Amino acid sequence: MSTYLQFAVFGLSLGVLYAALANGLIMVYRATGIINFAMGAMAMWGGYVYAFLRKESVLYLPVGQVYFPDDPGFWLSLILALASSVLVSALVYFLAFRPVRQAPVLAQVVVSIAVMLTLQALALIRFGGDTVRVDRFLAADADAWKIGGVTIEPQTVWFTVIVVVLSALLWAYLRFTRQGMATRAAASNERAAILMGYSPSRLAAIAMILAGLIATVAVLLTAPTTGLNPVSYTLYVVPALAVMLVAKMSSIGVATGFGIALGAFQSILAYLVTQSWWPEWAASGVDQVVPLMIVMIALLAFGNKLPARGSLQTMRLPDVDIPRIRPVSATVVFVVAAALLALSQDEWRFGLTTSLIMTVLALSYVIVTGYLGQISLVQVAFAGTSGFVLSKFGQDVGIPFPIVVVVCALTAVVVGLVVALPALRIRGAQLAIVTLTAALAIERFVFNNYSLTPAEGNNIGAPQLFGLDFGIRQGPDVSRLAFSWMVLVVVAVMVLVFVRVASGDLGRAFLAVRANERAAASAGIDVRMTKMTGFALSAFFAGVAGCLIGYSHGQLSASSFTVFVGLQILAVAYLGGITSWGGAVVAGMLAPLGLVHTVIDHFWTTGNTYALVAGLLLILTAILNPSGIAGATKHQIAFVRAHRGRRQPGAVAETAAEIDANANRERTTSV
Amino acid sequence: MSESQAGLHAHGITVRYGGVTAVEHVSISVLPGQIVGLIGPNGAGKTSFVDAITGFAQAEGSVVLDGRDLTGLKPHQRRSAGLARTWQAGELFSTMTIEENVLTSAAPPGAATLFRDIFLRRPDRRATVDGHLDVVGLSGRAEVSAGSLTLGQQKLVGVARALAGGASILLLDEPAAGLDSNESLEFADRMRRITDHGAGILIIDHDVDLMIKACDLIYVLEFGKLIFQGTPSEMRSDQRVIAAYLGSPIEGGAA
Ligand SMILES: Nc1ncnc2c1ncn2[C@@H]1O[C@H](COP(=O)(O)OP(=O)(O)OP(=O)(O)O)[C@@H](O)[C@H]1O
Ligand SMILES: [Mg+2]
Repeated sequence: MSTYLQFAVFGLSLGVLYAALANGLIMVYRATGIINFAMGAMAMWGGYVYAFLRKESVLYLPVGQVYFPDDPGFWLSLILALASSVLVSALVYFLAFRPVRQAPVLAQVVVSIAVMLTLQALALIRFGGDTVRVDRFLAADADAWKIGGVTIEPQTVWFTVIVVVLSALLWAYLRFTRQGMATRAAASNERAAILMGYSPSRLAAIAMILAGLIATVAVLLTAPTTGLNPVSYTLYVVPALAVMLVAKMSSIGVATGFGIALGAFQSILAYLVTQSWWPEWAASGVDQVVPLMIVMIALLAFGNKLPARGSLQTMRLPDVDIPRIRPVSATVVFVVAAALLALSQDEWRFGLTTSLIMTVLALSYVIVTGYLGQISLVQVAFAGTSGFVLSKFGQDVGIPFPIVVVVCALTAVVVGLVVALPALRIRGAQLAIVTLTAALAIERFVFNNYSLTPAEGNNIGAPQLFGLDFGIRQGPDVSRLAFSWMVLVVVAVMVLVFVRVASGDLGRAFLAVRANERAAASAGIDVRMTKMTGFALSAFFAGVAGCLIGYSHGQLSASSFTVFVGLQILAVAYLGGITSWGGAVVAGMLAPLGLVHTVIDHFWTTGNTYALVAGLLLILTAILNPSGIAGATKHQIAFVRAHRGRRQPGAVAETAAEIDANANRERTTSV
Repeated sequence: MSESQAGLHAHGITVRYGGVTAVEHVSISVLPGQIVGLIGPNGAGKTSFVDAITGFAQAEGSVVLDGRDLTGLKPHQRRSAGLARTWQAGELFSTMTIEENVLTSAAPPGAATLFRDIFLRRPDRRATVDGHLDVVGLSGRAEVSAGSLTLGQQKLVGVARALAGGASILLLDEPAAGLDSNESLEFADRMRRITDHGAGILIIDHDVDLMIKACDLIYVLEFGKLIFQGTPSEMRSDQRVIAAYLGSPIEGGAA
């Protein structure tokens, strides 16, 4: 018993971090209505600033740095760390969140994910990817207490007390101050706050800053135990999101208690999995499965009672033009692509091929988010599932090449159907939380689980058909044309399938569900079945992409299917234009390891420039142009056509309507 | 199917929102070929009644359509069974064209849709769509974006969408609001054309003249309770209806 208690005590330091992050999330949500996926990344910044002040006597600003002659000492470092946190929060609010405060939920989710990716990339560039040791925040001079066989360091108690007190202050601010009440009012109705004499954006900025401060303090408290790492700290937002859901996105008290409890529980689990009776295959990543289960249970328990802000009316998405196939231009595009593959070689051919593969993965986002209107962050885990099965199949069972891809993609469909179940109850940003949690759980429990996916022996054999070898490598050639052409054919088939579905009855039903679920039901559409079908179809696309990724690496590499890769692909899919296959092609070009990535890596040595540029571009796109790059060009084309068609001066008032009418008449995104 | 079962028979419908009883034990029948009116002051529970029998609101009571018990079925199942509705606020898919709006209900997805979409030739449904649009007076406008329509036109598209895919009973929630008086009269004729083909219509509207002219039977709701049912001429002289809704007896009548 005392062992369990001991581990629970160990878990307190993570627990206070979860509690603080969850409170930060709640604060931001109540003030802006935005779910701040960047909470962990924002909090981590202050931690890094502190660590590097103490270690290297350097004050890192987002851009540039200030050198101190020697260690500025605890207090000055602390103050500077908190000041950086304020700066980051204010920047994030005014540059990213404020511009999208009236935007569709998808744009808000994308912006907050973009901020997360940007800050993480920035941290990687500025501070490096290795875990940084952080000196103890509070001196451990006092002796540890022993209570009934449990050792408790006094500082653990202090941590907990500090975070609980800060949480109580947050609660009191929201609850008792006039400003806090106005903040809550402003989130649902800006005019209410204005009537109370406050500027809504100033209130929201203050809330963001307070959220950042409490989270930063928690990072400073926790980092000495865990060390600072840009990936893990960015992702601590996931358990915090689970806590936030349990707290019904509003109760600071529940979030504080539950966050601390979750940390303690995960720590006990970490002890349990080392026991001999615990199955070895289930030992890795259990700590991430727990948040997923919590989220699921929380949603089952009060899924419909969670605040439903922006669930229905504000699920506006960029318009969709029904795609159509034009045989001639389709053939031209295909031949040009084949020729480009033949003319390029080595890294360039590999980049281009990867772009083609990523187009299919991006299409899976186009289906599920662009057409069906469901924000899913789990697609890359579907791809990984399929690749995982392929690595098992490819060697042992020996199903021939094209069929094995279909079989693997179908297993992804099964996983997709399971993950789709919550989508029947929830939508919008909450679905984004669930799917993100699921993605992380699958990543840690399956892909990073060495007993399921041993580091060696995940080889994926070369695809062969009719005695022809379509493998990516042969001898010195590491990027064979045969492989690229095979990929091109598969991608062409998938694009064709997409266009057929998107322009058919199912595609129309997807759009109807996206636009208005109850109107869809009143038109005879089975909304649940349509959603399940959409998830299944998108999982199939992701699964095919997963197999191709597996073939292109010659093995299953967990790093191809991480949560971050998934978020980056959502990012580029959104950048490209989430509602069209043309957007998916753009996304493929922009995707990690794709063509643009190859170009950037060719000219900049640091590997993280790509992530930073992608993140920043994404923020810009979501703010300036919610229909993405492909959508923007289409609109410009329509605009130009409208002006050329009827060059009448003085018909300005008609232009907008004209563009719309034109866009409708054209309805041709031809291949 | 026996003669008495044809049409819509909603019995003992009760709708509660929390503590509020919006509809209380209301029974209404609509027979094939009939135009039945449902009127009442704002907040009387008319929309709630339609929500209840189409499966969009939790309710007590039973719904039988053409002899088939629909009680407890999902909205889309009731729709496929032939009980179609429109919405007070239009609720079109505003990013789609009129044609695509109508097609959503003409071709809702089923088990084989994915296969058909990918592999088979598309049937040409243009004629069907034009037929439905013609009934509501919007023929030739299939390609227009639904978002650019006036509310009145949106509701007409809603009616066309309800017609498509086959409907034995249409429930129209204020379809004529947003039309001027001439267009309203035209709309009454259009409804009659629909019922001439054998469908039944339950129409909600605040335009009493229109209702008296168009309806075979009228039900009046007040505070969730039925206070009257009968022919338009009976209603005009009914003291309770006059007190609750009409305010003063209708002179002459529009018919
Ligand atoms: N979803 C809901 N939740 C709670 N109360 C509701 C809901 N929908 C309607 N009500 C209430 O039920 C009562 C009946 O509303 P309903 O919309 O059915 O009236 P109506 O007769 O259609 O009115 P109108 O002529 O204005 O359309 C009203 O008091 C309304 O406020
Ligand atoms: Mg109503």
